[in-house]
Amino acid sequence: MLDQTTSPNMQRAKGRAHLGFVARAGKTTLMDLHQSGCVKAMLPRNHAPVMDGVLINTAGGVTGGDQLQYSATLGDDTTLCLTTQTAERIYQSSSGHGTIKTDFSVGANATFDWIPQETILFNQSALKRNMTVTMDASSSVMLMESIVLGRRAMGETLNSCFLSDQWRVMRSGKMAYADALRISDPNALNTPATLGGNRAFTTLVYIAPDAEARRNQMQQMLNFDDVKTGVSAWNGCLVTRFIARDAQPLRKALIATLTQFRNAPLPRVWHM
Amino acid sequence: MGMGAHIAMSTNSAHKLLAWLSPSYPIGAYSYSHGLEYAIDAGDVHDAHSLQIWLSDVLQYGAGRNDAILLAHAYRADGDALTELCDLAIALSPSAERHLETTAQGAAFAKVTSAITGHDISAMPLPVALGVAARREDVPLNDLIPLYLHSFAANIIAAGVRFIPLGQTDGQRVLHALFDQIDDIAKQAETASLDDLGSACFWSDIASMKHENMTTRIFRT
Repeated sequence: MLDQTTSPNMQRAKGRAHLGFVARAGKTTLMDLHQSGCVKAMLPRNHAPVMDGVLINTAGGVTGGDQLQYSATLGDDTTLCLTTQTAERIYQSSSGHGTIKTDFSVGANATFDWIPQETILFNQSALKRNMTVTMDASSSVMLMESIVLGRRAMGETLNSCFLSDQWRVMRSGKMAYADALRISDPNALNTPATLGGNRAFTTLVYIAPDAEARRNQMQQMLNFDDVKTGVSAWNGCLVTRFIARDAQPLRKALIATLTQFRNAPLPRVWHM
Repeated sequence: MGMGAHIAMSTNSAHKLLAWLSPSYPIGAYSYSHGLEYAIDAGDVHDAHSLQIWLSDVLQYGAGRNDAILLAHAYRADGDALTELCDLAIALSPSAERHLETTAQGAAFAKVTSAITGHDISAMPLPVALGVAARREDVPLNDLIPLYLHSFAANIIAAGVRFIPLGQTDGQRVLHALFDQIDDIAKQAETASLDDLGSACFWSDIASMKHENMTTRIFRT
């Protein structure tokens, strides 16, 4: 075919990891593990009451055309904290956009925390990310995404990038929360209504039977000199937003907030 | 009529849009500032120029563009698709107050418009309710979207005029300066997909959260 637009020789990273858990005699147990391509999953021993799962993109980043898929199924009464091994780097894309698809299914009375490390957007990167969560109204789910626009500490500035991040959470059959983030021009993010020139931000969502009751607890934890925050609770969702000048102060604030709110240390990869 | 030709708005449609989008349509629009009251209190918005920049962002990168896309989809949606669109529009609220802003105004709009037109329009978030009413009343979409954005901006400007405060003429100047941008956003929204939804107005969203904690408040949001 002479008119095809993509070269068959282009190296594109593809990877998929799926984890399935059930509760057996009160203990969360891995039942199903699938990993292929550049994505791996690990369950490091942590001597903690809650199991940690760690997802690894061995391709070392995402560029145009890459396709990553992460998914987990948590049975009734299971507990899992899932994170990523390191920050995900979204590199310059020569054509098209990278895609990351994340799907979680959470059964009754289960507790699931998805607290990946930050996503760093490099110049001329392009990423479309979709996360869907199906949960039971009796379960507790924490979802977080952090975005860093370039690495200011390294003297990098971001002139162009594209990011679309779509979250959809179905709770006992009804859409409970949706988030749609879209960055089409990083130069437009210097104004007060957007990021005011800040370069790092996080959305943290906790959906649980006690989410609204814990609003004030969260509010009292949010006390940082160098990170701006806001919190609000409605319809069974507790939403907290963070904005910081750069990745470091944001990370510090997140570690403090998550450790206190979850009343548990973060998975070890967060401290490496 | 050729493809893409602009259908001239009939006087009948113009009447309906002027009524629905007027500050006197009883949906309580004047009581919502979309987080502006906090932004003024925090000093982010303090004069006509900073108000214009704030609004320009909220229209282009925030709720303005998103509402416009939802409106266009509501205009075409029926049955399950319409129910799903309502759920999505509600779920996209970034804070408790913004949830109130879109659901309370939408419910009031549906109630008043049902009573006037005889259509049974159920309680839906504001842009969805408007899209449904417009289709049932044969109001063209390409007039509805820019004029909805116009009224959205005018309402926030009215809050700014009261609370910054700002002269009435300065407020109108800000509104006029946004017309071209509003038309561009409206045009793109007409054909946008739901995958194109998305906001970058992170601080405006946080402002609507922080508004909850203000001890003295004139506006509900």
